[in-house]
Amino acid sequence: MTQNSKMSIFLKGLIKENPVLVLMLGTCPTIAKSNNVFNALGLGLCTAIVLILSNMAISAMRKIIPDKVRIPCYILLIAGFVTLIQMLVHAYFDEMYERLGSFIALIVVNCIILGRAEMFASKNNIVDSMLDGAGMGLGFTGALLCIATIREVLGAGQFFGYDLPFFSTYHFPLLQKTFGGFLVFGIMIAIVTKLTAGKAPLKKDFACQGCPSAHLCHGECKEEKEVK
Amino acid sequence: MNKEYIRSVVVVVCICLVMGLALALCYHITQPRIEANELKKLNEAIRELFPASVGDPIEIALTPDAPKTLKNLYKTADGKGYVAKINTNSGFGQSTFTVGIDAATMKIVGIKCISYGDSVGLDDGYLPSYSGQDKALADVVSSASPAKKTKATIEAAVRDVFTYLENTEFEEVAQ
Repeated sequence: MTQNSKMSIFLKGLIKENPVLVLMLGTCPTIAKSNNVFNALGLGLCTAIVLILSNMAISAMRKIIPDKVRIPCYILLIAGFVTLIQMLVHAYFDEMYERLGSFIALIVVNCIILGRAEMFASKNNIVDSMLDGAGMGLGFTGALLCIATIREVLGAGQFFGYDLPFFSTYHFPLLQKTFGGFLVFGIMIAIVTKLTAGKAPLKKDFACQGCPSAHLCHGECKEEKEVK
Repeated sequence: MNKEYIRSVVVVVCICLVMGLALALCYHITQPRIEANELKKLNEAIRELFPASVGDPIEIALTPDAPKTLKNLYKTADGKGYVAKINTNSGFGQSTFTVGIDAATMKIVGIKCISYGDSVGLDDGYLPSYSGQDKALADVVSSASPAKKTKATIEAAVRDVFTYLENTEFEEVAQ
């Protein structure tokens, strides 16, 4: 594999196949923890580390894990890595642990992790899977940071907890609420859709790859949809 | 067919063993630091609740009938107040609080959150509304977040502390 294609695996997660803004995965933590930049950075980095580790482990074991038990095996590995990260964050970054609360443990059920394990890591080698995990993780962190910056600056008049001139006087507190999260999320999706017009993958192109039941229906559901 | 099942079982067991070992090692490394962080936060909370008290608080040995939510009980060095460390679990996640209770009036001096693992955040007005309340907790703000279930769990744990303090004779733990 050439250097360019390795780079493209890493870069596709940043914008073209951004997990949050294009693939629409992991929207729950995105809305919940993007009210300030500190939370967004913490959750984004934790998710990225779990994504890289789980992608590497799943890729390394892809030939050993039997097809029938692959999903339980992936969940075991992902849950293990999340618990490791949770313990390390609790011990060394206590303030971040307090702020993120149960959302660190909830990384286990983040669709991005299992989605990338099923769609990419189970079919590719360790290096490519690591690059995919890093790209997707940074894409997730970047999307979270963009949304959090808008919400914190315009919603609270602060950045990283520091008051900003002008914005600290004139801000729009509703952006700090869940409504604001949905609003900014929608605007970001619109911008990314405009930027990637015609280049982003369509849902039907990867739906069967990401479906845990794909081996049971052999893609028949996709064919049925196309006939309709 | 049997071979396939055996292979599946072996793989799952191996993954469990490897991840279990990794977690045990990580726990061994991080636990002392986590405990130190928790102790530091507990001492800070106790000093914040009873700033006039000089000296380390005295731990009280819990009797077997102590409520499950009550993890530790301390008496201030001057004997004027109690500090209870309670763990609550509303089903979303575990949280830890310290409750300061005046020994003479049996009213809450204050309640501090040490760690919060619930899914809904604590409202700014909720915990301060416990100050000055007795066992009835009649004037605790009910309109503030968190969720009803979380509030009910915290209030039940605080009431249990009052009941326990009223009905039990204590022995101080040697420091």
